[in-house]
Amino acid sequence: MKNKFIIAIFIAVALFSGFLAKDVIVSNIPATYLPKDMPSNVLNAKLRKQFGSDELFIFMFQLEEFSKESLTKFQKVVDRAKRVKNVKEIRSIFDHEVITGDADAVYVKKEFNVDNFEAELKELQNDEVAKDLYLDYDNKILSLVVEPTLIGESLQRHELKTQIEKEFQKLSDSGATFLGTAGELSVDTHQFEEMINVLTLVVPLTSIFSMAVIFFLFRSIGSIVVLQIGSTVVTGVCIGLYGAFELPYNMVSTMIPSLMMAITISFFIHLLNHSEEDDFNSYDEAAKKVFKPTMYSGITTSIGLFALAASPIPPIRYIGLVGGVGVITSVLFILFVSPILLRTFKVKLKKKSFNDMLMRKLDFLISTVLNAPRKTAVFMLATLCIFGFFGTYVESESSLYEFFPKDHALNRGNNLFKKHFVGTTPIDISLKVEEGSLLNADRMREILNMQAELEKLEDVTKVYSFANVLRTFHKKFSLSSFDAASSEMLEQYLFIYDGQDLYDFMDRDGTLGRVNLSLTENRANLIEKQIEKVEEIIKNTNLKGLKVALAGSGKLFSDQENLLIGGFTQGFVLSFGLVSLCLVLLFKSLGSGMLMMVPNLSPIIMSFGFMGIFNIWLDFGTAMISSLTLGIAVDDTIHMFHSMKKNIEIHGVNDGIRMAYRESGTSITMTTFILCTQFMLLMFSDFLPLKNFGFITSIGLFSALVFDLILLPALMKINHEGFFNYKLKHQP
Amino acid sequence: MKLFILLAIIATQTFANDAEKIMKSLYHANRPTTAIYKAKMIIEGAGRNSEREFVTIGKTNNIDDAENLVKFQKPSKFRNVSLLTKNYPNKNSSQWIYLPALKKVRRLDSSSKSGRFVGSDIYYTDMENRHYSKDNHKLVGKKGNLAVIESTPKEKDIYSKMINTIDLEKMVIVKAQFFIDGKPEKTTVSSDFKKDAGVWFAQKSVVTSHVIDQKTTTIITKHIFNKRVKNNYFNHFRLGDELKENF
Repeated sequence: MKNKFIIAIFIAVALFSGFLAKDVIVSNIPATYLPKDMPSNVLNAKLRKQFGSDELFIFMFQLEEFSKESLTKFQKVVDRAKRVKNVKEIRSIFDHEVITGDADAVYVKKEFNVDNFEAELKELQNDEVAKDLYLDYDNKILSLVVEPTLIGESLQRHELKTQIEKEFQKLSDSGATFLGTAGELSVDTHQFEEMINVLTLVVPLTSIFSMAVIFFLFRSIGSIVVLQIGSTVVTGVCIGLYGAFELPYNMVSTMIPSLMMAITISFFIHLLNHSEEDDFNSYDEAAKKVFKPTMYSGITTSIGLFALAASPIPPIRYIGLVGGVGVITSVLFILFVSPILLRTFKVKLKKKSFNDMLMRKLDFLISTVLNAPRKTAVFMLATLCIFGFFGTYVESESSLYEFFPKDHALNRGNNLFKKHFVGTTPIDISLKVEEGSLLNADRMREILNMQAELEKLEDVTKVYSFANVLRTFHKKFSLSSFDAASSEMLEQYLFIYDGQDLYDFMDRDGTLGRVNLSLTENRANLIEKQIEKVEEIIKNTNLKGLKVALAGSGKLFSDQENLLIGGFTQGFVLSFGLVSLCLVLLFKSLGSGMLMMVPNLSPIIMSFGFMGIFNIWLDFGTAMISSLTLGIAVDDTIHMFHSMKKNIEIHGVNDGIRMAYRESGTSITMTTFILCTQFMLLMFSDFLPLKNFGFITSIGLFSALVFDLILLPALMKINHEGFFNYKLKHQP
Repeated sequence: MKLFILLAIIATQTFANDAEKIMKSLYHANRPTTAIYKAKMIIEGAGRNSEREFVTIGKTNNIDDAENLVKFQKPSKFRNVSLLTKNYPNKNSSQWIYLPALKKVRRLDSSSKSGRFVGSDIYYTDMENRHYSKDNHKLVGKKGNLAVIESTPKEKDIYSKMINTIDLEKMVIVKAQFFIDGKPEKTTVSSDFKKDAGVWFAQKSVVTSHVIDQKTTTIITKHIFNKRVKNNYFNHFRLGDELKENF
C-alpha cells in the first residue's frame, strides 16, 4: 500500500512537471541576465519602448554590379520581407531618409529612385548614416538592418531569422551574394541554435553514455530503464519549475539536464553497488545502507546549489534554486522510488567487479598514505598552493562572440560588418530633460561637441543622435552653419519635420533623447573601460538641466560582468560556509566537518589553477563551477569519510582505512570516472562556456577524487596519531 | 460551371463600375469655390498633448486645379508658420513652407508626401485632391445609405490600400482606413456633419494612428464658403505675410 502510494505520487509529479514544462519560455536576451530593478536595465527598457530595439539583425550582401535591374529586384525582395511577422522595420538604402535640398527646395527624401540609381548611390555615399550602415560603395556591399518588434522569446527570434533568410534567398536572383549576418540578434539566435544543439546532441550523448556504463557495470537492462526514468523525471521537474515560475530558460540553464543526469547516476551507482547480485529483493536493504550517506550528500549538494541563489544574476540564481530542488528530487527517487521499480521489474544485477583491479592500482597509494601521512599531507597542500598561485591569474572576462570559434559564422559576419561598416556593440547615452527642452540651440551645440569628442575615442566608430538630424535639417533649410541656429528655428524645424529618423533618437515632445555609440569592442571589461572614458567626456560637457545615464546592450553586458564577479565571490563563500555547517551538523562534530572541508577546497583551487594555466576566463559558464563542484565533490568526501570513520572504529586506523578504500574508494573512483566522462562530453559543444564548464568541472571532480583518496585518509591518520606524536615517539 | 464564372465576372465588373461611379461622384461633390476654415488641431499620444490653431484658405479654380493655404496662429512659437499647396491637373502638386524663425520660404519636394503634416497623423498626401482614376475601386459592402469601397492604387503609391465608408446621401467619407505595405497605418473617423451653401462638411475628424501611439483631432470652429479671397494668399513669395483679415 505504501509502495503504491509512493509510485502514485511519483507519477503525479512526473505528469505535473511535464504539464508545466510546456510553458517554458526560452529567452536568452541580455535583459534576462540582469536584475529587473537594476538601473541600467530599467532605463534600457524605457529607451527600447520609446525608440525601438537596439538588438538588430544585419544581413550583408555583395552585388556583382550596381544596375537598375539588380537594384530593382533587390528592392522587391526587401519590400516583401517587411511583411514577415515580427518585422518592425527593414532599413536599407531603399528607404533611408536623406534630408536633402538646394537653394530652391528642401525635403526629407525617403525613397530610392532606382531609375536614377547612380546619383542616388553617390548621394548615399556622402550621407553620414548610409555610408556607415547600409552602403559600402567601393566593395558593392549592401546591408539590410532588420529591426524586430520587441519580442523577448529566443524561439520567436529564431523563427524571424528563418523567415527572413527564406525571403532573402531570393536575392540571389539579383546577383547578390550573401556575406553573413551581424548584430545582437544574430548573437542571440546563434546561441539559441547552440542551446538546441546541446539539448538534442550533447544531452542524449551523455544519456547514452551513462546507460552504457550502467550496463557495463551491472549487465542489466532493467537498471538502465529505471535510471532513465529517474533522470527524465528529475530533469522534467527542473524544467517544469522554469515553466511554473515563468523563469527564462537560456544558455546557462542548458547545464541543468547534464548536471541532474550526473547527480542521479552517481547516487544510483552507490545504490546498485550496495545491492546483491541476482536478488531483486535486496534493493530495499541497499537503500537502507546508503540512506545516510545519500541523504547527507543530497543535502550538501543541494545546499551548494541553493547557495547560487545569492547571485545577483537571475539565470545563475534560478539554476541554483531549480538545481537544488532537482537534487532533492533525485535523492527521493533513488531512496524511495527506484528500489520499488527495481523490485517490481525484477531487475537482477550481474556486477562486474573492478574492486580487485582498482585495489591493486590503489595499493601504492594506500601504502604511501599509511606509511607517510604527514609528508603526503604536506605534498598535497603544497600542490594546492601552487595551483592556487596559478589561480590568481584567472581573468574575469566575457565576450558573446568569443563564446564561438573564430571561424564560426557569427564571428565571420561580425568581423565583416566591423570591417566595412561600424562596430556592433551599441551604447546609448540617455538625455532626459529636467529643465527646458532638448530643442535649445546652445544645448544642441554642446551635445554635438560632446559627440565630436566621443568620436575620437578608440573603438568608437560612430556617434549619432537627434542633434545630427537637426543640424542637417538646419543646414539644408537655412543654407547656413549650425552656429547660427536658434532655439526658435529648432522648434519650427520639428514642427514641419515629417521624417521618422529623428524620432528614433528623440521623443516627440523633445524631452527625452539618446546619443547612440557604436563600439567595435565586444569584451565586457574592455567595454567597461570605454564606458569610463565616455563618462569622463560627459562629465566635461555642459549638460546642465539634463539627466544623463547610460544604457544599451553594451552597457547591460558590461554590468552583467560586474555582477558576475560579485555574485561569484558571494556564492562561493556562502556555498562553502553552508556546506561546512551542514557537515558539522550531520556528523555532529566540528572537527569532522572541518576535516572534510579541506579536501573539498581542492576542486575549486585546482579548477582555478587550470583556468589560470590555460587562460580560461571566469565567465557565465565557469562562474558556477565552484559551487557546483563543491556540491558534487562533497558526495565522495562524505562516502569516504563515513566509511573510514566506521571502519577505523571497528578495525583500527590502518586496516580501517584499507577497508574504506575497498568499500568506498573503489566506488567513488568509479562514479568520478563516469561523471568526469559525462562532463567531458560537453566539450563536443562548439559553445565555449559549455566546453569550458565541461572541462573544468571534470578537472574539479577528478581533483576532488585525488584529494579524497590521498589527503583525506592522510588527515584522518594524522588526526588519530596527532601531527607531533610521530616525532615524540621517535625521539631518542 | 462556365456560366457561373461568367456570372461572377459580370457581377464583379458591375460592382467595380458602381464603386467607380461612387468615387467619381465623391470627387466632384461638396466643392465650394472657396472654403475658409478656422480650426483647432489636438494631437494626443503617450502621455502628451499639444494643441494648434490654424486657418486654412482653399480655392478651387477648376476641379483639378486648386490651391490651399494653411496659416498657424497658436501656439505663439508657431505663429505665422505657413504651408501653401498647389494642385495642378496632370502634374504633381507643389508645396511651399514659410518658417518665421528663418524668415525664409522653401519649396518642399513632391516626393516627401508620406510625411506627417506638422507632426500630426495627417500626411501631406492627404492634403491633396487625389483623383479617383488613380485607383482601382471595389464595392465591398453596402448598408442603408452607407457604402464601403476598397481602393488600391494603379501604380505604386504611399498607401497600398484605402477602405472608405461613404455616406451616399451626403457624399462624404465618414470613415477611412489607410494601409501601407498591407499593414494598417491609420483610421480617420469624421463626424458632426453640417451643410452650408449646399456643401456638406465634417466639423470634427479624428485620425488614429496604428503605428505610433497618437491621435489627431481636428475641430472646425468657424467656416466660410464662397467668399472672395485675395490671390496674394496663394503667392508663395508672399507666404510670410501675416493674415490681415480676421476670419
